[in-house]
Amino acid sequence: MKFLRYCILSMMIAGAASGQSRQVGEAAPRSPILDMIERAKNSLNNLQYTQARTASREILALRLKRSQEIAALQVAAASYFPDEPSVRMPDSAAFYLRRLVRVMPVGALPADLVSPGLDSQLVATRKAVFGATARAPAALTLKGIERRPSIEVMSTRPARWQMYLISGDGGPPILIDTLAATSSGRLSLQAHNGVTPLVQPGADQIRILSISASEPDTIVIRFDANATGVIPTLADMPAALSSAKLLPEKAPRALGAGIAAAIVGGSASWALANVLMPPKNLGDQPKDSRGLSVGIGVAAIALAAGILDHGRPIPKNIKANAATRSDHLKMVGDVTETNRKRVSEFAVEMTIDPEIK
Amino acid sequence: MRRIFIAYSAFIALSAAPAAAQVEYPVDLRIGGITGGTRRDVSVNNEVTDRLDASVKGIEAYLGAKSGGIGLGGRILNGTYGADDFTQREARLFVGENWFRLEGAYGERSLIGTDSTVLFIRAGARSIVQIGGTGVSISISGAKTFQGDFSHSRSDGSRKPDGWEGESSVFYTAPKIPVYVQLGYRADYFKFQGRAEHMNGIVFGMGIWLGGR
Repeated sequence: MKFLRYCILSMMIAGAASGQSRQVGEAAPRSPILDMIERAKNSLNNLQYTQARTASREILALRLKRSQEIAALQVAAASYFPDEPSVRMPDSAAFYLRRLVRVMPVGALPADLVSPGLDSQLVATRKAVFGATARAPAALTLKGIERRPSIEVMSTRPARWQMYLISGDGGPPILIDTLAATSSGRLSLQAHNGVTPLVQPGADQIRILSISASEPDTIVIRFDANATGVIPTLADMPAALSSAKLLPEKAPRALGAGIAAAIVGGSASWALANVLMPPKNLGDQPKDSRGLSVGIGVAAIALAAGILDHGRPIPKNIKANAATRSDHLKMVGDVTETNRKRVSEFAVEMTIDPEIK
Repeated sequence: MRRIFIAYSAFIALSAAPAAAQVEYPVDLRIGGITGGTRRDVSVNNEVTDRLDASVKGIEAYLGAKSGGIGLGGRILNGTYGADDFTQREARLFVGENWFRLEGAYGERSLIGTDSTVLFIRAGARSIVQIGGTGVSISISGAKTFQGDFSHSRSDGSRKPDGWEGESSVFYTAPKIPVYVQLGYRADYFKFQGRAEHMNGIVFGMGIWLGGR
């Protein structure tokens, strides 16, 4: 039965669409689904609740745009929770209100559907159900690395927000902006991050994740977008300064020199007191034992110095390396400045379909 | 002696500090004071007459280009052995690089047991080797003494001074301030007109050394 009704409905939509296509040039095309929603709304206004309920259920079974889904859910909720208490079906109304709140966390019901009772139900549902949506401008211009707060986001309770951009050629999602836990805010779009373009010319998709901060629930909001602009060609950064281009700034450790100095200096001190003696009677005088102590001290200090040495700094090489590093930094600075200029001149015209996918 | 080792150990430990703050001086300039307990043996006509200990103090200075070449210097030593004053003053000329340079000196030295002084020339060599970047340097020198007063007859051999001098020292120069300390041993022999003296002893020194690291 349901299938039959679905087929009839589809034929009606197809017929309406073909009828309208015949009238091209005569009037602006009108969505058959909107017609159906309008008819369901008329049924509701004529107190034909059953017909309105049936029609809205049938509409919701179709593949709908977000605005159509919201309109259909509003009619469905209103048809199950009319002014007349005797015909109300609160559980069914709550079912559709929960679905409605998921996609319409803020905003009032249309004037021709709202009633105090339904409005109270909507408020209560918004307190209980996590819902999120976003509003994007139809067109905007992005330039350089400038961040433009562009997309307004709203939710029934605080959520963390992440905005990704996916290029039409199936590239990986690029994280553009995030918001900390909040129930309303603006996400910013950016054409370039200084290194790579974030927005690729052509068809893009903006994907916004609303992650509830209080429960494990995530709502994904998608917008189709189209970007035009010429991606700047950035100059290649000089390769990192290779250590092969730098001169050694320290001489090798002086352990050998320390050992040699210990031997020569120590033995020289000892020899001065014990070997190098004057001739004749003066040379027969007792030797000075302090020479040995000094020799040991000199040797110990020289040896310790050789062991502790980390290498003598070579000022000439240090200076040359400083100049090399400075030249490299200048090259990097020049390229950075060139690229910064090119990026700052990069402009993207972006048109966004405000209809959430 | 133990205190000396402790003090030097502390300096050696300091030498392990990063050497980045070292300053490169265009000259090699060292000015410092020296002191040390020195023993002097004296002989007159080959008869040993005296053996005394005294503290010999003095000033030593050197100035030369960092890269080597010619350098100038001088030394003054003073001490008192009993009733005898000992004095030695000399000007020095150096040729060569730090690691090896020829050294010439011209000066005068008090004559034992008299009020007169003896002029002399000394020639020798000196080597100062720095051990890496630690600030420790080892210095060894040796020199021979010659006649300095040419107004007397060369044929009178007894009027020509004779002798030698040797010194071995270790220096440590601090990393951030150009202050050095020195520990060494010095010995010299000087003979003139039958009077000879042999002096040897420990040398302590301290001063300023630009280019000591």
